[in-house]
Amino acid sequence: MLKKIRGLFSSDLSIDLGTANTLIYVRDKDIVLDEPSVVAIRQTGNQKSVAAVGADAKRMLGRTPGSITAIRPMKDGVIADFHVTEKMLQYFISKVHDTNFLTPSPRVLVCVPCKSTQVERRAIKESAMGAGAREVYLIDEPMAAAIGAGLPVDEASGSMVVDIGGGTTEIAVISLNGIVYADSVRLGGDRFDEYIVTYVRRNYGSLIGDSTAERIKQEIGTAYPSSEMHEIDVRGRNLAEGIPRSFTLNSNEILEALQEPLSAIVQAVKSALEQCPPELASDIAERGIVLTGGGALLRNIDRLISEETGLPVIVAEDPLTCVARGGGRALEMLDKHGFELVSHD
Amino acid sequence: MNNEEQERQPEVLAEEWGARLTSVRESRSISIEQAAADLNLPTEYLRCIEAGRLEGLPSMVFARGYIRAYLKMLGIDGIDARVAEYVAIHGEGSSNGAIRPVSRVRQQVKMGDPLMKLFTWVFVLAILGVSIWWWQTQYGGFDATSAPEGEGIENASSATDAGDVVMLENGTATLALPTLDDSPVDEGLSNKAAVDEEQAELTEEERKALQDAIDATPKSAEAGAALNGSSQVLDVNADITISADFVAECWVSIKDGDGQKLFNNLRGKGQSVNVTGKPPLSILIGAADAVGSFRYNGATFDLAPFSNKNVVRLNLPVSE
Repeated sequence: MLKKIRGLFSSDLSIDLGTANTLIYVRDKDIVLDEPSVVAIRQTGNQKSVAAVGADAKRMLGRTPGSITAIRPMKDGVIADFHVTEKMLQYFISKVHDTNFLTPSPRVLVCVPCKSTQVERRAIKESAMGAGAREVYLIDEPMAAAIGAGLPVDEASGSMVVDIGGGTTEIAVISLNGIVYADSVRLGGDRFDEYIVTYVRRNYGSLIGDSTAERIKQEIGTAYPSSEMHEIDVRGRNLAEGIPRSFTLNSNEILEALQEPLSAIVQAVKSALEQCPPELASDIAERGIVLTGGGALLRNIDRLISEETGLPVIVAEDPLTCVARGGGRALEMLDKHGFELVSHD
Repeated sequence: MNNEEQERQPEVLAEEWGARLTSVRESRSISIEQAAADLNLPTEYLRCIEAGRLEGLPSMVFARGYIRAYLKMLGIDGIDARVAEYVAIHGEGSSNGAIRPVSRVRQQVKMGDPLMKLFTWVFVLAILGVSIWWWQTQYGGFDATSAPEGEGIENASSATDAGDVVMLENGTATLALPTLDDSPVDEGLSNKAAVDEEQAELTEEERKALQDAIDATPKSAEAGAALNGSSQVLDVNADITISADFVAECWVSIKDGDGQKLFNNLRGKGQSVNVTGKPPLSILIGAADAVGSFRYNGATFDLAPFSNKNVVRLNLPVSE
């Protein structure tokens, strides 16, 4: 009852609860929140309290004293730490509501990886409920991504969407508002960072943090060899000497470092095309594959997939926010028509 | 003329935009087939882009992607600006953003639906109306005189029903008749609620018939009254007095016309009950044997016809 009253003062939300970033789309507005999914927990004695959430907490990653731990509560697209996720969602939900008069109790649509288990879905639902949502709907991430990218998902023609997120890569073939084939590879931007860290350690004998690896990836990372060469100066701790040392990395080295995860993604795309019914495959061959998610921003990744599959590949407009925007659209549809894409469990 | 120019303008702009791409491509001596093969795109799509036609392309979402890839391949700077230019010329496209459900699985009726709201209000008002009406008919509402007219007729009819035989025989018809016209409404009897018009008419006819009968036999009635010599006055509204003596232990319960308990207790040997109340009195006597004498308005009354297995249940005045 109280939730219903509080609901009157809340806006419907679509949340892209990603491994790397959490985005919130407020109905009839736009993306209002885009923050890293990081929570810093301060421990004093036996008591734990939230020190920072989002961008502030991310700055603390790898730079915390003993009393503070910066946690990424999502791993591989699903919840790794239930309570911390709940706290994080609670913080984000209250942040997007201006009023402090009542605790907001919005209807929430959360995007989940298509291959997530019932347990993982339930965890996401429960944690959204715990964060104050009065109703929680779940939608498959690739479906939300396709809607957000503006693909004609309601038409009787196949569209293929590859959503390369922080923790997972979702590949789906969609037709008539339904997923014909979907696959989820637990491989994404985070894994790219790990491979870069490993590469640097192996070839330069230096240790770099995840944040540095991410910066390297964003600045010079590439997925396909090109004539342009980019370089970056990096500082890391030399393993042999134990002292921080500076060295230079170039884009070809990063390409080499990322070979393994990239080929896994390409392989998944290929196997999706293999599994796809012939009619839909011909639609896809004609129009191409659409890339969304943060991974789509990796330089030349469209070129790589295009070369490997021989199909046109395009990167969606604003790939980072596709999922959240798509979820928002689905939420609007939900009220008008009872959209069949959204599920309660 | 001016209008025509404006209408043509987007097409001209689109052609110019495409022509620039063609010139860049030709300056790099790349054939359109070569470019298409490089991008894994059908040559037709590239021709459409260069001719500034959107119709040949799947939709704006894909067109934007193709153009982006093409511009990148040609090594043109400011890709975003160029794409934005293209979108500005052609618009967002109709298919963008028009996602519909395949089938309307369940059309949700929201509580905010005006029809639903109206229905709810009508229902609530109806319930309220019925309960007020019931309360008024049951307890007379704020004022007994405000009772509907139909009830007066009903009362009259019940009075006349009883009167047809009894009153004529007992010679009380002359007393009973005035109650039809100017008696205040008896609340106790009025819970036979709805009186439809037919019944009202019927009682009206009955009343007339009764009036005729009385007119025809006034003498016999008066004679009957004189013969009977009874002092019983069956005014429907006059209070009734009951007294009883008991020769053994007995349970007695007496309720008046309002349903109020006038007496509800055990009486022993030699004890008596004396009660006056609004008619009709509903009387329950646990043991008929235990009653020594029973007087109704002062006259002795025989309980035997009302006794069933030694338990007496009766309403006074007795209606046939």
